[in-house]
Amino acid sequence: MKAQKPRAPWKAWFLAFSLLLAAVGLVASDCKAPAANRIVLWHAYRGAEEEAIAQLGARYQAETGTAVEVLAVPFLAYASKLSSAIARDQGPDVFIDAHERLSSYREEGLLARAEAAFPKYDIDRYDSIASTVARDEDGAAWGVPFALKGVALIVNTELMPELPASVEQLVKARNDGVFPLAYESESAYVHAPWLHAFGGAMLGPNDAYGFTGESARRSVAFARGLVSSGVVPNGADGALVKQLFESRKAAAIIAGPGVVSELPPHFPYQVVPLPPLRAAPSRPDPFLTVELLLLTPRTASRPEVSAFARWLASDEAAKLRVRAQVVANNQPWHDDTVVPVAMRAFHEAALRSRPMSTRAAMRATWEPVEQAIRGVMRAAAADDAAIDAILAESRRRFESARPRAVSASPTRGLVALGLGLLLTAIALYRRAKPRFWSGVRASAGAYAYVVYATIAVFVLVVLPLVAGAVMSFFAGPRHQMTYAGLGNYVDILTARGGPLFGYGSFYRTLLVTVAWTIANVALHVTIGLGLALLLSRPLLRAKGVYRTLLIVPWAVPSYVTALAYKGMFHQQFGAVNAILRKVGAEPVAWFSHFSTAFAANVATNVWLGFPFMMVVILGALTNVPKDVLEAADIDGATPWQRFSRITFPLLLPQLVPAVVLGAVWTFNMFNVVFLVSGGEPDNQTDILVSEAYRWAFTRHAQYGYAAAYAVLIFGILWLTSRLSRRWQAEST
Amino acid sequence: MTPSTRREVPCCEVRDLSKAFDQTTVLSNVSLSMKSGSFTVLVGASGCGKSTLLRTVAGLEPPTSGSIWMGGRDVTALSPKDRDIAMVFQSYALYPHLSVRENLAFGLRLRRTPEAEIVARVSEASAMLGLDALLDRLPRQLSGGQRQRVAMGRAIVRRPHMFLFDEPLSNLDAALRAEVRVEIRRLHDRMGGTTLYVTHDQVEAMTLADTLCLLRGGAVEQMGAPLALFDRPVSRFVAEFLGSPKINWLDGQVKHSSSGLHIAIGGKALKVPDRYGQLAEQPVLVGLRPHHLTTASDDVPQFATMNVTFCEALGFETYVHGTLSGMGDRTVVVRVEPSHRVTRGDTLPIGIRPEHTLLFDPRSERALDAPT
Amino acid sequence: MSVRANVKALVVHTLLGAAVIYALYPVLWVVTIAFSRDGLGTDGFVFPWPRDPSFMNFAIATGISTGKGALFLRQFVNSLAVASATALMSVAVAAPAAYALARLPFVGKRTGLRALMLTQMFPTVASAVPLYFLLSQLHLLDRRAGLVIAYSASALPFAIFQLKAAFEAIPVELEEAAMVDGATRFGALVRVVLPAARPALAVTALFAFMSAWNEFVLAATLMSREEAFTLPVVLQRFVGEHAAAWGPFAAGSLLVSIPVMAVFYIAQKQLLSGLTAGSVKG
Ligand SMILES: Nc1ncnc2c1ncn2[C@@H]1O[C@H](COP(=O)(O)OP(=O)(O)OP(=O)(O)O)[C@@H](O)[C@H]1O
Ligand SMILES: [Mg+2]
Repeated sequence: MKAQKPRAPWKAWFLAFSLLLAAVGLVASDCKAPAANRIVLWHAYRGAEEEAIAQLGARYQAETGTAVEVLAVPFLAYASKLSSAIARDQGPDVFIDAHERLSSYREEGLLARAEAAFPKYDIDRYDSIASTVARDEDGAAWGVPFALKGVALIVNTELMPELPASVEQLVKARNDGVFPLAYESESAYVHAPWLHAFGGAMLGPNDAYGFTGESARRSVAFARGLVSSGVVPNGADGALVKQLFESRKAAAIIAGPGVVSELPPHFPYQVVPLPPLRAAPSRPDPFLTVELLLLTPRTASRPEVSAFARWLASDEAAKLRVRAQVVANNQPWHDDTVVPVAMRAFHEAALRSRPMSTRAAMRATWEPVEQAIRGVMRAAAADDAAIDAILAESRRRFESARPRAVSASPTRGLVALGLGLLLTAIALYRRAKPRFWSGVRASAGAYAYVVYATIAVFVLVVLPLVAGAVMSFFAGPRHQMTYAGLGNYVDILTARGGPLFGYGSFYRTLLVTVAWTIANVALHVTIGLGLALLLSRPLLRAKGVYRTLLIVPWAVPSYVTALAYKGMFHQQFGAVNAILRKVGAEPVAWFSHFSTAFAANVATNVWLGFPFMMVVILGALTNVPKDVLEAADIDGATPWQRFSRITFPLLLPQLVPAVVLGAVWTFNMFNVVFLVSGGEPDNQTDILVSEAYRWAFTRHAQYGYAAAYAVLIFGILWLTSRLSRRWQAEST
Repeated sequence: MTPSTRREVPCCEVRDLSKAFDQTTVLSNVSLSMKSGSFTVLVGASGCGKSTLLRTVAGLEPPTSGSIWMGGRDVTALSPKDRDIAMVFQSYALYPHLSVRENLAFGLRLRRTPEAEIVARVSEASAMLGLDALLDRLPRQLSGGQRQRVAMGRAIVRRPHMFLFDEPLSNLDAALRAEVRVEIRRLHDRMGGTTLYVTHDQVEAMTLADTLCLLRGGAVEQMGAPLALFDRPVSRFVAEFLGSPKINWLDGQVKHSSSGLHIAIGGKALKVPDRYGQLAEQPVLVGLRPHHLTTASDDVPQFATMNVTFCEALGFETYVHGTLSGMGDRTVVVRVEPSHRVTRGDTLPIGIRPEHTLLFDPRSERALDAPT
Repeated sequence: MSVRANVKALVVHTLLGAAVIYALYPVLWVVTIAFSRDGLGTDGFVFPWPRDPSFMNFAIATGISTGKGALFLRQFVNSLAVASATALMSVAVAAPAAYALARLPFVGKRTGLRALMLTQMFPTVASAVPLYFLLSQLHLLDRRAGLVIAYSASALPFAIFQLKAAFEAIPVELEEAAMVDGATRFGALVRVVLPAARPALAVTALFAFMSAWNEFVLAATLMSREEAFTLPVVLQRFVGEHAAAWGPFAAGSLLVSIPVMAVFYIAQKQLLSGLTAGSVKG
């Protein structure tokens, strides 16, 4: 064996210590204090738009001397960050957001009136729709019109030299290996033009679900026709659409300005509004989103903020923005020298678009509508009756997700709380025999060891969880929650009146979650253990390289790899099906069936999780004494006996916490489900937490409902652990 | 303090010590007194509480009641580091991440001993124990015996008031064990510390101890000079525990007769040694060590006839196993000169040296001459 | 070597090779996306390879193409500082607690252990807002220290369980020897138990490091200055409402994972070598 050179322990300590110092120093030396009277602007723009805003901020600062701080926030965190920060008076002075969210921001009290930034006499400077949505029924301004967002048709002028006069014409222009049209066929947002063309609306008056009846049926039948005839690629997402267009595999796409700004230079394209759909009575108008500059309450007494907002939305500034976005101002569009051609086309398209409803219910339509679209796309046969059944189901889902007017008298809850506290106190008092207190005193030394961990976990982990749990007794959107007693729980446990084992019901989802957990943990442990055992063979060469390569799945951020997996499982373009085709097997529509979609999720999560288990087991293996193994060898144990009788039992103490925690984490692992299958088909692969997240973030932002799910999940895990402990105690 | 002054003060006292883990009592009312510079050995059967007593003295286990005094101070509440002791563990407990050198220096570093002194003491100890070639190795690169010596060295460099050893030799082969045993005693005499030493090897116990303390079920059964325990055991347990081969037992009856007191065994009469004084007529358990029985000769008249069942010839002496005819079916072992050639089935005339006879009450199993 | 041993080695390498392929294949797609100028190909091909390799996406991801390279460097340092501090802090806080749970008897130990497990069972769906509130009360918003504290707290339960199991595997005589040699109990923990548990400490620290290194929701919510962002937040900026710039996102993700793998490669000997061997009899 290798002779070990004596170690110089001080070296390691010195290294660790200097690392510690560096880390502490860096953490302590936080950013310099911000300028006192600065104006803070938040937005979630990317690319050219982000640059334009940054330049405008810098320019304003240079011209007026007012410090301007522009922060680009990741879109995924934008909404929650805004509402948390503004509520704590830590947020921006001005922020940019879509008009759909204006009313809920107002209700939450996160906005100040924008009269000074958007005076009455400015109304005509902006597009009239934009001016309208920025003001309330009484004409008071709550935001400043800023930009318009919508989709248009982007045509590759080489593949399609003649601009199509109608959708029918567009569809007929078939080239070999080229899709005449590509769009996110399963997105409700991009599907909306078809619905509008056939005379429908996503959301009717009084928040009525609009994706039903004749118009919806015809729109989905039409979309299904596009896909099934091979005109439009199946199940493409935004990235794939862009991809197809850039690689000249799609002659035209329906997309927003973002795609255009990222096209390589000299790419032959032209942007036009969506051409008419001859088969339909109306124009296929896409949705329009108006982006507004919104002022937060703390700016009410700061005229300089209003001045800044007004300037940002001014024609002068708009001339600089117009290269990057469709500004809401009228004037720049008259000036041909500043407006890029593509933007003008998007502007034209925007003027023909239909502003999205500002109702909170609007956002809750996406999920059922998209389910309906996917359902129809995947149905074996799509006659009217079949489509109607799917639409009816989606409507039922929408209705059942609608917030209900649950309100309960808090008295009973308070009485229960009081009683509970009293009983706990009595129980504690009873346990608190003199021996208990002397025990506590004797434990003082040990408490000194656990005090920091206890405080940290209690304050930063337990308190937020308890606060979250309390929300489960309330219903409604976050800013106006009403006490609902056990209403949320009753709702969930009765599957909101639907069939108890129907899709999306608590019980069915629970079964899926259990299967999900078992499958994942079993595979994590098996693979992790197997690899760890292989890697701990003393004579193995290139151990270090293997180990490092095998932790790659853990090292690469899971967000991107999960999406890579989603791409790999794509029916038409995914690598998995490509491999299947290579070996002569039938490609699989992975996300159309529960079993395959579930398998795809599990494959992803196993891939993400096995390195962790492997490292934990490798660490634990170092504690298995060699001499015991040698003794077993001498006793004539086979390798399997050696493993099962010695190694495994000795590993177990360290393996158990990792496995138990792994199981709990897997039970609550929502992002893989979200990113890979997205719950497809029909929420069947959703697990309990992903269901909870849907309630919190897509279905009318019903946090109380999500919290009730969380408490139920907690209850299930707690019960399981209790039962398993009892079972364990009985078996030994 | 120099070793010579230490010798005067009583070094360590254990007073009325009891220890219970949860509900099970492991030590009950143990009292010990160790003079400065003395070598006390704790013996007893496995599980009788030797390690627990040692660990309590070290301060690793808090006693349930009772107190421990060192150098005239009550140290019961002190932590081990404040007791000025060194301990060699049953399992050695070498620091796996430190080289032999650093293992030796560890305690000195903790006490902020000057570096020069550390170097001096480590090299002294390593020379004493023959560890010089191993100083830069890690514990896992040592043999069992080498580890044992490092563990000893770690205690020696500290020069503490008191050494505690917990079966330090149980891992060594017989030859090495005998060698190290002598070494330990020599070291003890040279270092002058007080030593408390746990073993269940009675050779170790007898050869090392100034004072031998026999524990039984968590209580002190007998304490004193090793030979005192061997010759005058207070109970059947002590008599049986010490001595190899074990003491022989015969059932007898105290009888008064005209010639005085005698013990009747299977119709034969055995003289009661004088030290027993007056005894009532009663049944007794007669203990006879193998070397107190012998082949009958002119000096020692025949007492019984032995039917030989088994014979152990060790070269320098021979042990003969068998039963005494007419005296029950207890197996008896007799030491005979190696020149005697005895085989199974032989009969052997046996004589007794009556002055060594030990008498015990068969019910209480206490020695009849034991102080009550 | 005998034929048998050769065959065995071959089998082992084949198995490991298969595992490596399984581990790397999806990452090769990420690599391909990162190096492709025009994003991922759409041929449905089996072996991912950039057709038009370019470093453009890396230039975008690091902000070099927009002149924000220095900012990216600063954000990288942020990430490194936050993740290392999280690793150190969670181990520093977890180790004494785990030690007490492994070795010392005290009232409330079982309850505490169970409660610790319970915290892991509660999904965090609804706890982000209260956490924000809490940290703003503590004036820890917009500070790396705030992130470190929040991350460490959430890494604590696992760290405690892991270290407790590791400490229990260390012979108790080691600490006792140290205590007899003159160390306090805490001194014995620091000087003897921790070094002997180095592999477990390293694994625990690595875990805490990774969880902080890749976290973005909390970082994006708590940090409101660009100079204070960590790399995952920067990466997440490439994902928009309707579309994402996958090229730079993939490139950035690869950059983010390189330090982790480097650390692992260098430290694995320390991570995974048994230490307690030879400390006790045998
Ligand atoms: N921590 C403990 N908890 C409960 N019981 C214990 C504990 N430590 C020791 N005991 C019990 O106390 C008794 C005495 O143990 P101790 O280790 O002192 O024995 P010993 O005399 O050293 O034995 P050996 O010669 O085998 O080492 C044993 O019955 C043992 O089972
Ligand atoms: Mg013992």
